Amino acid sequence: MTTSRIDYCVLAILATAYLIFVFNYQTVPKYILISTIVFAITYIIWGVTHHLKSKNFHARVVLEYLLVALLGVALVSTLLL
Amino acid sequence: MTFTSKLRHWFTPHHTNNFRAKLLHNSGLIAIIGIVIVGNVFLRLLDNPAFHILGFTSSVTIDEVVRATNEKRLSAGLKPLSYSEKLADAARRKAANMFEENYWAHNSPSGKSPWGWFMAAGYNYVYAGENLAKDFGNTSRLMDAWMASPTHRENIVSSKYSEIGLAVVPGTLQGQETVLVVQFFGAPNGGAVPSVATGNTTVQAPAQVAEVKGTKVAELVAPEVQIIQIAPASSPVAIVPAKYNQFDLARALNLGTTALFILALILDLYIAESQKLTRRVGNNWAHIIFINLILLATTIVNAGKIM
Repeated sequence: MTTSRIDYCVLAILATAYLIFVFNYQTVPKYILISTIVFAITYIIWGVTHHLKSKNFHARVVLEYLLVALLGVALVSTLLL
Repeated sequence: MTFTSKLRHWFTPHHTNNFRAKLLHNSGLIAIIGIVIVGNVFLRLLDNPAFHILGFTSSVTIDEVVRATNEKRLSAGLKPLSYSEKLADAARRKAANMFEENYWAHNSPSGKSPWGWFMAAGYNYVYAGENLAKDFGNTSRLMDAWMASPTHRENIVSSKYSEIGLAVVPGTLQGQETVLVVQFFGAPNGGAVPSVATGNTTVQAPAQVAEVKGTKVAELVAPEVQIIQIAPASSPVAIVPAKYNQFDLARALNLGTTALFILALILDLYIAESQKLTRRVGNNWAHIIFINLILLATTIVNAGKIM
């Protein structure tokens, strides 16, 4: 299995865990928000690790992941808060 | 710059944008986040009762909630509940008190417990239960939320109850327009030892005292009732005559903005791969997966709250 495939498998596991959590705690907004923030942080870590392994890491790329993660949190939090 | 070249600049990799769709540049991402946040703040301002431009609309009806509750009971192999006008009266009194004292809880700030409303309506019970909800746009989402909560579900599919009463009342609670749903369950019996349960608590009580999980909390004394506004007993629909629903508009805004972002990601990915462009940028596939999952989560999120 290539490094890239392993990375995507890890992302798929994170995504599945997030969805299961959100589905199970859909009646508790606080938990949905916390799980989204945790998912966003793990996504940034995933992005940094992925690009380090792919040897195309750059500070600008980290900022891109940070902003995409922030967009995700903004999308959920604006509906919850 | 023509309109087409602007679109190409924002959505596709081109020499004008350093071969990365402008919307996917960090500045483009900041703009998207800005639109989402500023747009939502604007919608909240419009939702403010002082402006009275937006409001809360709901299609929740008493008939639908009763029918859905009984469907859940039948699925669980239980008998359907019969509609009690006394319980409905108690529920309307409770809803009116929530607006009057401006609270969102089982017990009022002045210490009135839900069970006092049963007594005030002249409903003598063996068992009693209460589920509360607000801000739900339709009955289906409301029932889904209650059924997803173990304590509320327990009330809905409890074999102890034989009757149900409901109030669906629009009003302004804690500064926001809403539709309150008060669902009372009961098993009538004059003078028997009462046992009561709310969506969050299970209560076993001797004749005049209620206990919550072993802790004595309140005496079962009928509170003084001051009703501000009560919907007619047979009123099946509670719809606030609002123009738009703030939550639905916020969801549409978020969805629309994100759709543009996803479109840029897909076009950028497709063109970059077909032209074999080498760039040091984020992984578009990963962004697409991440954002789509977030969108999926936002479809699960309810505007409504249960208690």
